[in-house]
Amino acid sequence: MESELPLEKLCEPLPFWDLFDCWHSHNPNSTLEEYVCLQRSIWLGAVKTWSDLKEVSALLWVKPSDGDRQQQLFDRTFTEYQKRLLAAAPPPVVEITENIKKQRQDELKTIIGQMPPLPLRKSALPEGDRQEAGAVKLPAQQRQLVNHRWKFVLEDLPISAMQVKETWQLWRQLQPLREQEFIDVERTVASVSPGGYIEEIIWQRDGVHKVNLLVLVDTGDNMLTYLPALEKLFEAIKRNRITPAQIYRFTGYPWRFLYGWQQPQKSVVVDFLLPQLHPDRTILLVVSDCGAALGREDPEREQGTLRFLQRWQGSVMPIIWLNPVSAERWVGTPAAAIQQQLRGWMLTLEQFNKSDIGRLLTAGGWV
Amino acid sequence: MSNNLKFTKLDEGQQPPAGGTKKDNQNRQYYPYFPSDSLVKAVNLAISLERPLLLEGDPGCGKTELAKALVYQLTMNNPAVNDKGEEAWWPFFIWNVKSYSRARDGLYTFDAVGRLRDAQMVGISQSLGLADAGPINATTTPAEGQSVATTESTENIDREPTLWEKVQDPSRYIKYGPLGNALKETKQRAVLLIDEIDKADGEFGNDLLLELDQFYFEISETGERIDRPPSPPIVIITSNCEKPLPKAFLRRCLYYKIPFPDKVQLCTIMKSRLQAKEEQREIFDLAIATFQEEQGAIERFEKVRDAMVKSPMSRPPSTSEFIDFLRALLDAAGRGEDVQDIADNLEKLENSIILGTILKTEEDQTLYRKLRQKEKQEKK
Repeated sequence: MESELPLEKLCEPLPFWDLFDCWHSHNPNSTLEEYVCLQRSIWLGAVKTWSDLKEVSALLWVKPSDGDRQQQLFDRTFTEYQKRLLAAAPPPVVEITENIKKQRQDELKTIIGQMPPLPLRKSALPEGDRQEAGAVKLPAQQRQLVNHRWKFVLEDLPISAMQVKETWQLWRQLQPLREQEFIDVERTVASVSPGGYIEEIIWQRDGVHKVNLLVLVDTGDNMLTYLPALEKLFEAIKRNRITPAQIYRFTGYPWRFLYGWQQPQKSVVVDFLLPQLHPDRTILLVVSDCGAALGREDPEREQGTLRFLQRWQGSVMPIIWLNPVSAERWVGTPAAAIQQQLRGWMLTLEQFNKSDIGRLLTAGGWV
Repeated sequence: MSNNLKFTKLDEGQQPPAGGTKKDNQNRQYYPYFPSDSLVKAVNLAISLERPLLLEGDPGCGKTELAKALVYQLTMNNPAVNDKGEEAWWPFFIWNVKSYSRARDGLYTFDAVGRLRDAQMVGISQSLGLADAGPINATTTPAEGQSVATTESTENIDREPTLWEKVQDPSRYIKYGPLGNALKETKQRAVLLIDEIDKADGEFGNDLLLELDQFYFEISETGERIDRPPSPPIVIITSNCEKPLPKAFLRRCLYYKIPFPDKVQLCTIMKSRLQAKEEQREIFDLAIATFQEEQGAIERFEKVRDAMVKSPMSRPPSTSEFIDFLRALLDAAGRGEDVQDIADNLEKLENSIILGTILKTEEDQTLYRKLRQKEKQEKK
């Protein structure tokens, strides 16, 4: 093992590439970067002998594994590679001279002289000397098993310790995420008044790229038949599977108050809610027929809904209106005017499912 | 690689004092360390290739001590003096990873609450007309179109900034963590120890890929970029194999598993770590004895360890536990207990309170007692 490496291999442009290739065929997770590290080690002079090569390549390529399996695999691969390389090396050229020929002949004679005579055939042996093979019954004591003890080691298990470690995560129970909030320092510092009073601490939700979903659901009588279709979505929000998200009730159109989804008797003042919304990260989803179920005009509702949209438009990103009533029935109802105001963001259930947010929610099985 | 950055096996005379330790300016203790040849090669390769070295092994087998041993050698090979005239130790940063650690914490933390508090103080100071309030009518943020006023002349550039100036500059609220400090170190190749990385969440390793590969990072609060230092830090990462590490992270590391030391190495470690007083010499020799009819501590310890290794649910004792085990024996001798009593304790280890220093669970202790009983029966 301490023998030096062949110089021509060390001087190749890609020294011991075949060793890496051999290792890679057994361990596809190995990368070119790992080979480059070996190359650099050779250029730095850290590899001179076979044992150096084995040590360095093991350091670079062998990773933690259960029961040192990778190390054992690497040892086998390296040994095979070394044997192959040494076997492929051309034998040294020896000039056969007359002296060498004579020497070899003498050696042969000595060997032949030392060989034992061939045994006689059975038929040539005298009768008394013939031996026959036969089975022998041993006494009972000797037939007993010497070792009754079971030897149990971790490696005998059908599942490896590493597999247990890797799959333990599947056993973890899902816990509802609490809302992670951090102080939006810049905006809070900006809000500090000249008197030094912090008027308001402004919070920002964790994760710059997250969006907050705010769902307003019309729970008026006309919507009763449509709400069961969206039950899964409401349930997912209630159980924090879609998060961060809030859901409120209203009837007709949202104006001064909204009501909690789980606690309908608890009202939330819209004036207090609006400043808390982040305009760049809040998506408003309104679930309402917008008067389409009645099938007639309703000027008061139309005006009220328009005022609601104008009021909310600065505080949220897009407003998406999900109208479960089919589009043909919107004509001649407040829904048609609102659809114009929203510039196509009033969607039927089918259109909603095809939209980006709808596809996201469908993928989660919530719509 | 420069000889001054090489890790070698030190002779006894070059090691830190046996038993006692040499403390650095941060009061860290350094013990003698006896690495194997292959470990020495692994460390030197990691230094040359500028790759992190991931060390795995049983708890207490010397993974953390390796980093300290490296720092000790680098300090001794590169003697220097700091501004105060004291011995300057090689820059060494330790990041003790916890289960709640985030990768960013190792780089820096931003004191948002402190900035908020200071902003509030500025406002109060202004309302009271105090000097520290900054320019008159200045608010905590400049009005649109105005830049931050710099009223001080260059003569006062070294003075403490006012609260108002401090609030304007978010960089004053940044505190660098061990990895951040190691990457900011430009004069020498700092040694960074990331200890017990497997304690953290599964994605922790992946969050460090850029920093450990390219050796730079950015501070999102200020937009500042800390560039790669001229000589990147020497990174040593330890793991107790409790959780698997991400593959992308492993690919960037050199991996070395520290085996449990053999008898000879164990003797050397014990002799260097424990200094026996004269009255304890007899029990110390008894403990270190590797061959005698009445079994010495090392023999007994190895038997316990072998029994636990074969049992799948047990945790075999490690080197550090053996040190505790010997200390318990020496303490008993120090309290004036009869050597014979202690030898008996060793023989009847399964019933002794000292067993708790090497076997930490009731199941392991029960198993050991059963094995000892069987052994005695077989002897009869």
